[in-house]
Amino acid sequence: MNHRPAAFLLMILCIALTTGCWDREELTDRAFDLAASADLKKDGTYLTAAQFIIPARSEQSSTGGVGGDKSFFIETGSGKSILESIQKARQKLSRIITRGHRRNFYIGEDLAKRGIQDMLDTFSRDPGNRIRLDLWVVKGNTGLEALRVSYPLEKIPSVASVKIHKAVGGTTGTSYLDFMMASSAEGSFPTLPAVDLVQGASPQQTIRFYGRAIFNRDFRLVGYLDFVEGAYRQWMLNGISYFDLAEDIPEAGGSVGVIVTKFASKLRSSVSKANKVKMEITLTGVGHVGENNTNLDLSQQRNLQFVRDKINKKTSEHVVEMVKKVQKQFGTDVLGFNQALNRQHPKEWHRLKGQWDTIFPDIEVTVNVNVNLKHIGLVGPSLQLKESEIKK
Amino acid sequence: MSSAQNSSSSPEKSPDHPLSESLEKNERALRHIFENCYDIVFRRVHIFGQIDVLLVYLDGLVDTKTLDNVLLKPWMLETPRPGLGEINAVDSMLEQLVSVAKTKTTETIDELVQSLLSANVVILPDGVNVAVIAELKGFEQRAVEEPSVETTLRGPREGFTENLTVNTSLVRRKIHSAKLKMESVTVGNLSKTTIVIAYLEGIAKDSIVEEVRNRIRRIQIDTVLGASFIEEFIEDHPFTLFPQVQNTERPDIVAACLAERKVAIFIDGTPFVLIVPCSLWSAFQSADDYYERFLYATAIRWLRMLLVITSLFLPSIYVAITTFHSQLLPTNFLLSITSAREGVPFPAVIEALMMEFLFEGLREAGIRMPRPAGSAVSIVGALVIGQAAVQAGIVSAPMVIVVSLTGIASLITPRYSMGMPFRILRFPMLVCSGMFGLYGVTMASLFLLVHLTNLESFGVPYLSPIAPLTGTELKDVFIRAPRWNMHTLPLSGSARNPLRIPKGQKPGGSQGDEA
Repeated sequence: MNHRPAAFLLMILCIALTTGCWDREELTDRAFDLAASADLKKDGTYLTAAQFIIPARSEQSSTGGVGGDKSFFIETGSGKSILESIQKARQKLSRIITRGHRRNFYIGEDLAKRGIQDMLDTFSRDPGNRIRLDLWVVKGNTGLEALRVSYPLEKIPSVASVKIHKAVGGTTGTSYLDFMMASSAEGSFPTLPAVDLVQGASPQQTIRFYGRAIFNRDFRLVGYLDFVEGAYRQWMLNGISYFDLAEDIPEAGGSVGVIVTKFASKLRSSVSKANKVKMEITLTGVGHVGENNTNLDLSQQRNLQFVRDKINKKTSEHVVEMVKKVQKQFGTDVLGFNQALNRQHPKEWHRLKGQWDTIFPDIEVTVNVNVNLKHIGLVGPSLQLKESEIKK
Repeated sequence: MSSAQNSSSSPEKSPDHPLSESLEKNERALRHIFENCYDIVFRRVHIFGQIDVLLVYLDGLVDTKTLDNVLLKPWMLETPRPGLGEINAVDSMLEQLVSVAKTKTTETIDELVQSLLSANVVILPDGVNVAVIAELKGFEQRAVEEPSVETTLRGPREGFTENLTVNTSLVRRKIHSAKLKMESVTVGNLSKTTIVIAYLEGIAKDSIVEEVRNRIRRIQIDTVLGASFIEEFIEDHPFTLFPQVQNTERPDIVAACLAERKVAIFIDGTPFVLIVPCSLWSAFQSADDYYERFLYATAIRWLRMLLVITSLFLPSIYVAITTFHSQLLPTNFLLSITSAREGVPFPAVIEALMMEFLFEGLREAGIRMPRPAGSAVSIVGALVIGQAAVQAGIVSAPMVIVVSLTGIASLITPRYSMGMPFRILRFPMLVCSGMFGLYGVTMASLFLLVHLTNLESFGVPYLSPIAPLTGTELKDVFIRAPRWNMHTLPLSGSARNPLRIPKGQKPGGSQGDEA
């Protein structure tokens, strides 16, 4: 190389000139698609929409300029397939759509009910698509409406649903991946997080994290778990970081609220001779009493144990209800039972997996919630109670 | 002085012109050689009342005050001593001269001319074919000052001057050992520059010393006016951007390097001393590292490395990420950059090249321009680059941030010459990233790495002790180990490192008490 610098330079130049096309694209030639939606129109065609940022406006609002203009706009397109509808949307765009920053994709309820199988293929084929994408089902509404919500806290409103999900203790950025993994795994069914649109305190609609949408094998929506049910499910699957339990304790004349952290769950499976499967679910966590509307003095060990047992028992019942709902109403294993069995009894699983869909609804489930109340705050009984009212 | 070329070259061609016994003849010969040299001085004096003596010297190079007061005055005032023959004139003079100067005698005109040019006084007595050469150098020179390029906070404040003997003495004053050898070589047909090769005998590697000797002896050059004149002849790879010879103007650095088995090359007439061998890592070592506490020095060294990497890669990575891999940026960051780039007319890579070019221009102008014009250039530069260009929408604000960060980072290297390759390499890096994105940056870095591993400085790999890895020498690369922990001498290659200081001198505890 040292001997022939000219030849070396020429070689480098050749590399530069003979490569054909470059995929260089300036920022000002890209349209950043931060969220998108897919809906089913009345005539059976797809309607896709995407929320694009307007860079010039987003600067203005960040430097404290006039707030009136939105820093995004929505463009739609419709067609008999997703790609065709995107093509229609592209006819109206001066820049190349870049999906590298798309974190949310809203699916309208109608489309979810009809099935999203055809749609998923376009996702996995597009190299520009983020794998850490969150797919959402918009309960009782269309994806387009979800895109239209202007959430007041975020400059780009579509970021809101991800952030809400995170703030309430869920895991974000994994729903697309989880969906694909669950649909390809033997015995499990895919789920997606769900949002709905509600009337906020302000006159506008706002977006709300609803819970979990459950799909069947044909990728059709079969039903929802609400927020609390979804949280129980996430607890079972070790996918939760923050959750509040509030249970009535009639014996003590009030309710106790517990903030739970350090979640853990254990699924123990067993298979009887007659192919009867049993699941024993143990959910543990560390509780922090956040609310005590009873007359109990929680600084007394006896009272604390009483409350703890009550809460654990009540919660166990609720979890069982949730599991029953999934088993009977939906008949889809979205609770990870298949994996537990697969790991703990591989031979039996091998034998049973072909008929898992019929076995699942009849699995005998026992739930044992074990939240340990470690912190009660700085006071034992409620401070507003008189000495005589407090039950030691 | 211009005609000195003719005169000094003629005796070289026909060596060993003997001196004549006749003073007239000698004078004529000398006057012929130094024809048209206005600064040559011929002084004819009558000393001891009986001998005619011719003093010849170059005006301005000789300490005439000493010459007049100490030598000539006594000689001329002294009455002729009885019994003093003409034959002992030379001996008698030598006797007295010894007390004031280094003297020797010569019998050839060529040696005489040479010593005249080296600022000596030549005394030619009449009637003998011997001349006395007295070293009475006395010319204007700069005093020892604080080095202007390599400054320290806690280190010694003295720096080399243009005078070779001052420079060697500055180092000699730091190493009081007879092991410190200083071999002198004369290089340059015209300049006859004295070059001193200094090393510590028994500590420096003989192979390196021998290599330095050979390479310097090989040099055939007319004039040596600066350190780089020699550097360009002795480096291993002339076509690389990376300097393979370290230069310094600090005697303490020279002394430290000598103790680390390196060889120093002093060159008369320049305040810069060359040190070989040199590795890439010396770009990150500053003199202050060794005068500050070692933890602090280590932290600062990491900072330097980080910033040098920044100076090389930041503009190209910025260009690559914004034009090829926008998904790598956090969304909000992307939004800020996108909105700032909205309406900028040029592609990012052109913009970056333009701004870097402008910055380098400003910097170069800042070094060379006359000092009074400095503030004007910096104000205009700051305004043009920083404000006007952004407000006019020609350049985006993030690019200005990137370029100025890079500019600051590229000045972080303690050795100025070591910063140059990084300063220049960021342009090809930028072109690569503009064409191929991060892939291009990766390829360019690989090329750079391969190139660096191929380099050698006097037989020592340029990336050593990292590649090839020498565990014990790592104590002064990414970290600066405490003094008591640097037990071994570096540059051992595959051999076992000899011990430099005894082990177990860590202060505190029982060992510290013993020490």
